[in-house]
Amino acid sequence: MSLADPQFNLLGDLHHFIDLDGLDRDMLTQILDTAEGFAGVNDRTIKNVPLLRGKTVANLFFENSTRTRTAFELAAKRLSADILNVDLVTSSTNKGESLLDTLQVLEALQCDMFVVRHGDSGAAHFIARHVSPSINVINGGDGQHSHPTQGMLDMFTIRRHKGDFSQLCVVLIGDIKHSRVARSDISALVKLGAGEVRVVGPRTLIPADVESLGVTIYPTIEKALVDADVIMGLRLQKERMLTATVPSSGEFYRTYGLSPERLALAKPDALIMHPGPTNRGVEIAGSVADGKQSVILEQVTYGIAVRMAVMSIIMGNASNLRREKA
Amino acid sequence: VKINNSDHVIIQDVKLLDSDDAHTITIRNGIIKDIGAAQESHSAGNNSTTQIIHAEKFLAVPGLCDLYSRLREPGLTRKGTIESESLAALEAGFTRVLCSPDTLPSIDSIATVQLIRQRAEAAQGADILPIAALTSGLEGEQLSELATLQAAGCPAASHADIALPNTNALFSAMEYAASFSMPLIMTARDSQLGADGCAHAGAMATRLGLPGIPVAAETVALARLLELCRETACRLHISRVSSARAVEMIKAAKQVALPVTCDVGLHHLYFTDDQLDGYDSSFHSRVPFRTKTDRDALREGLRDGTIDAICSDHSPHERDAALAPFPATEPGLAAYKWAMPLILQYY
Repeated sequence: MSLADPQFNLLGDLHHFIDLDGLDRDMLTQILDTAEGFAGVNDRTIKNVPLLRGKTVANLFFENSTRTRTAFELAAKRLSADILNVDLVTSSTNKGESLLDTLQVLEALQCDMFVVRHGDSGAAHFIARHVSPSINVINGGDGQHSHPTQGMLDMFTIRRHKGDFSQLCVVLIGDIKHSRVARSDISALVKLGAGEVRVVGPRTLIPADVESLGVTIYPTIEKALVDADVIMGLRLQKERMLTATVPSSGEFYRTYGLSPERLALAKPDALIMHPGPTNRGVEIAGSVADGKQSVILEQVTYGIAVRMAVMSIIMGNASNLRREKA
Repeated sequence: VKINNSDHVIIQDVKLLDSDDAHTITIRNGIIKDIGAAQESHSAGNNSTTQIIHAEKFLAVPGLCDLYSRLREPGLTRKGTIESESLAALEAGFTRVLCSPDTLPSIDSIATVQLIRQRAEAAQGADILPIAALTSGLEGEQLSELATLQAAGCPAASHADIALPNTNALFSAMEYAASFSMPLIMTARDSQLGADGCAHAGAMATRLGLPGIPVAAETVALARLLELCRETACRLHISRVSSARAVEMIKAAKQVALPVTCDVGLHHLYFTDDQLDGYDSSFHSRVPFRTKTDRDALREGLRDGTIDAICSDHSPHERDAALAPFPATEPGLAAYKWAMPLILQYY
């Protein structure tokens, strides 16, 4: 027995966007196709479309964020929605109010959509199960579990450059264990049929049974980079250095950092990606992050179109995503 | 069916745990006088104080003793009370229950023991035997007055599910308890390894991004307990074994005749970490559900006698305890409602 996927409503329509695990290949492709349409809007002088006019989107960030919050804010504005930024890091939840009570207050303010970031894995699932049915929930990152819009914007970036996924060799480097981005990327890549997904990092940063996700563990970064089409760096959080998982940022760079020499082992047209913020000289050399193979800033730009696509799909204002059997 | 306060009760045509034949049980003044083959149908006759129960559809089971349960009183009565839980235990077939010392305050003083015993007596549910807190306040430093608590009716001492990182304190506690032949009921869980975890460190935790509890969190702590048991000859009972490797270690310890026994939590004979899919917090357990291989080893350990008992690990909660994202929910499953049918599978 396991709980039903809370992302779909009784008709089988995608109502929340929580986790890429519950979505199939066609759905992911449809999101990417819808995002293509919005990418065109973002290139125009007048960037607004009226799809969500009159709707209110609330950004509920229980963890600090600048990039993701800003990208969601822009996406909502370009869809003509009203946007409410609620800073919950320093708010009532710290005064002992339960998460559910906080949500009910925001529901009473008659918002239509919650974009939620929370430090606990599974928080977005929990919220999706408990909000009133009229509200749509988008997961802006939950603990170490999932960051599905980041996963989709990464796929969007890869597809724009490489087209087909089936021949691709993708390498994820570094802190897989604590990374929600890594989990969402792996889930999407496996669903979209990527040729090979490799992970490499010190064993302290590789989670138990990671192969069960459909990836291969490589022993060294040099071996992992051979024939790579896409290289994804992941942020190494400073606190990892305090908890005996990595001795120092210097040693991390020497053993797993993406240096120009190592980059030369990959295919010459390999893409360099990173969800940001990057630690230069820790995960990646500055010259590589700024080099011509880097698409790190494109990822940020595409993040808006992808989030516009997700927001309009779950609010039913773009083609619905319906699964066969609810 | 309710047994009245008659001096004479006859239960007819009832099956026994070890026999499918119909039996008759005769009870006089609250004491079972006879269990025999089915007799001619009794009738109440003139003696109106005789109660006759026709029990064709029932099974008679000896009153069970539960080695580990939480009654939540004193201090956590929003979750359960001695009255509610001791009655639930009795209804589930447990006539005697050892209750965990992780109450507020913990069971580290004679006053708390007396309070529990008085409330249990008033409730008229299962007999309640409080387990003494091994250290004062379960803080892991100062020993509780174990001999006094033993004299007050605590059959054993335990550190509940709270880690005891101070090996000096543990060593000393085991030596001290051994002086009074007081058994310790200990859960094997390292104080640091997997301390922030809420699920077995395996494929499911990896997919859900939940902080993991590796098997080594159990086995490292178990090795420490077993070595101290060897050194102190303290009577040791390992509570709620969770992994295949732990079963192996206990089997080996028994082969060299260490004074060690162990039990398994009822739910651990049935569930694995697969149950956590979708963040189902009703399966959030402090002693984690591990893999199918581990579960099968627990079943086998029970069959071959390495595991001596099943405990309910009953942990009642109020509704709010589960209304949070998975890692923030309070661990523990209530067990009494379905305990008996699940236990009978293993009889």
